[in-house]
Amino acid sequence: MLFLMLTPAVVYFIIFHYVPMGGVIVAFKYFEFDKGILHSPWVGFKNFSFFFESGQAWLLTKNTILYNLAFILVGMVFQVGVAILFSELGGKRIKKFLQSTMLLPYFISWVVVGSFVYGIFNYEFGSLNTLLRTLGMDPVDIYGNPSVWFFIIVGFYLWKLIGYGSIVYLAAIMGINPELYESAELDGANIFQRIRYITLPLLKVTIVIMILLQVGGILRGNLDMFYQLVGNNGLLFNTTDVIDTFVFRALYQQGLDLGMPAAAGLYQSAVGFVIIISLNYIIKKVNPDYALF
Amino acid sequence: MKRKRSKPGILLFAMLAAVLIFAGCAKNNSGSEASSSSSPSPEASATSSASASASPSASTPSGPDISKKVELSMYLPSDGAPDAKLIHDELNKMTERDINATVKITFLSNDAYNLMLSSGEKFDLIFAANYMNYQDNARRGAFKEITPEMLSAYAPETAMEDKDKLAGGYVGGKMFAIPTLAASFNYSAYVVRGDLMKKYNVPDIKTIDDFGVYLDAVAKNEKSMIPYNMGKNDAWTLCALYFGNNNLMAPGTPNCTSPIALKKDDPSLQLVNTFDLPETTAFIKKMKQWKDAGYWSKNALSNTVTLNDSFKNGKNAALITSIPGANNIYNEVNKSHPEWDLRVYPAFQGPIDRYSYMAGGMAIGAKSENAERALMLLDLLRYNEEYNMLTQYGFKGTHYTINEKGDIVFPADSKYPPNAAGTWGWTNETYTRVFDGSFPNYAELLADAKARYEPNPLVDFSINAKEISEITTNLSNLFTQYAGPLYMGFTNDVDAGIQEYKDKLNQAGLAKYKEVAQKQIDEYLKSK
Repeated sequence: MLFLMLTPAVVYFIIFHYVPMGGVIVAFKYFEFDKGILHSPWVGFKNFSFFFESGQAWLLTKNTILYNLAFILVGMVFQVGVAILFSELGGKRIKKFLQSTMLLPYFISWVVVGSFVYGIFNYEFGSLNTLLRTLGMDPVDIYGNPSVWFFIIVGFYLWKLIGYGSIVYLAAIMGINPELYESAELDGANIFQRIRYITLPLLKVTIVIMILLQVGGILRGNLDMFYQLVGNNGLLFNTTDVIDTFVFRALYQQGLDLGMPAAAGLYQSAVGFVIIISLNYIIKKVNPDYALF
Repeated sequence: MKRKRSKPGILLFAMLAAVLIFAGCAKNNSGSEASSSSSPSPEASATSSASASASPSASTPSGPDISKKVELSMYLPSDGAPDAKLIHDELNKMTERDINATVKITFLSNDAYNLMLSSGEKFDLIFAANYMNYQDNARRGAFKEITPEMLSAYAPETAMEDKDKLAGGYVGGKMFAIPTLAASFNYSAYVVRGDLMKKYNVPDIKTIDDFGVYLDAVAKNEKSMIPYNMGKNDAWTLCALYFGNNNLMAPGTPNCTSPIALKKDDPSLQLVNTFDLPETTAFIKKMKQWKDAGYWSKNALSNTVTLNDSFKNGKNAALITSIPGANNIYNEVNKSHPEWDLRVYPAFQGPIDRYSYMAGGMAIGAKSENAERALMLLDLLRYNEEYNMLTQYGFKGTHYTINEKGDIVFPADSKYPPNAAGTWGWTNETYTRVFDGSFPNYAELLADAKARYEPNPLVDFSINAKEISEITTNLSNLFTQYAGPLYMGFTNDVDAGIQEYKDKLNQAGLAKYKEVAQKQIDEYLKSK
């Protein structure tokens, strides 16, 4: 009976995740319209060369990994922090209000975020520079200054996803037996001690699993975000370009060549697969309870 | 956390998955077999018609057989027009009468266009153009070859057309599309505000430097305006200005983003690296001066508002655009702001290039079963005045009228405005009218373009990038990252910036790209 209930999910995964996986062969083919995926001629690893011969492969891989590490680690710290804050907060109404406010940015499209980022940092008429000018200070040229963009991007990522990401942790905290807190309180533990010795240790499993899940996608850039915030501004590419934006840009003008984007995607997935398998293996060695599988 | 799953459970899951995978495959196979076996007639008829078309002149001298009624499908990349349905109904009445066929026209976006080609869908007619990667799509087998026999049997008027006008449709010696019958020139014009010129005593614009004088006057005096308020995708207007004024052309690409170029006055047509030319450095130095003087925004590269839009809103004082582009903006702005007194000046000096006629055209789908009828329809759309005028301009009296000068007049909120319904694939100069309300020196500029036009042997050439696609991909990416910002003057040190770009180009394989391009050009010229 339980397996019957599982069937829809299994069917879904097979149709939309396993069958399309066969399409990965297009990464090794010169795609021709009339022949389709199956009958197009093989070209070996040629489709991969555009990425590795661009002279940017290392920079892009490095940027992608660094950004994702920042998102995962800094994001985790903030999300856990916010979750703990909400769990300890009294006052039902204010709590609900704050929680909704935190969640709201998640539903704003990056397109919209991109346009108000431009509205803030625009040199001539942006709100930041207008403010600086009225205060008698020199305006700053954000769009000509690549080094600040790491912070802008991470900042907006946090702003948008903290509320949403904290829900999982909040749920885990709600699952902690309240008796633990009561007895700790009776023993004289203050709020920080309770967080330090009860909440955090019990959240550890959730945190490790959440990190593991995200690490699998460590070579995937969030195209939506990077493209909407940075766009085609070549001046900023050295600090903001990730694999996804590079591939998108490289192939957008070229008409539809299925082979090259498929090759780039395969590279990202393969590296992500290796990373998650080895990380899981290590964690299993250290503490089998924390491993994903 | 449920850490432990039962072994048999996993096994069962795996088996279920395996069974479903195989079932899925099996179903797929039988499905495609079933569909191919259940519809044998169209394929059979296609092969028979193909064999018939191979020797039409011998067997059917009395014209093609149209006894069987067919429905053609046509795809046009366009947003369409409100009254398009009415026009299509009328068109269908005519096609039923003349060639015993109806045509179902579907509009689609540019992205859907690419997806449709890659999905291998069956269709009869589709718009194609070199800016939409016509040659590459043709090489990838998206279109059906139009043989000379087919052309003379089913599209006799097209078959008799000048070789020169059809040349753009050939890819690797085979014809895959029929180009339009309208020449468009690579001729840019400055569109500027006459009221500002008068106010600040700016003389007429004849050269790039004169244009700079105008921009300077606006930058110094109009604090709420940015003189040339470029958006993020407008860098090409500057490099076009550079190419157009220095008699340069890029081989096989319709614009100036190529890092290699030909000097058109060099009879040997040898490719040079654009960024090796001293003129390039000089031009970019000038652009840096312009940028530093505030002629465009410091964040132009991230500005999402186009030049046209900010011009219409009065935030931008100048445009560099084609003659039709200038006409469109003039039409629009002259109604809302006649006091702006728009003026249009030619922006290129020296000889003028023509684009390939393949800047628009129609192709037949690779899997089309009605290629003959599709060709007959194309011949009608291209050469029959009734068909051409109906599809291009709509119903006379409702969608357009002709005034006493012979110019075409459109009502204010036309439900079938010109150039909206995706009919660019069969434009014919013979039936194209001058729009009423064109800018005053419109005809003069058109005549100027024709007078200065110098035929160019490579106008229809396109690089076959199959073997070097990774290089072309990276080169176009490098334009966005380095050359675009350079042309817009975004660099602290021009020489160092150019050197960095050149280093990146060499890393990406510029030398090989140049060598392959040169070889293909030489072969192309020999075969011509």
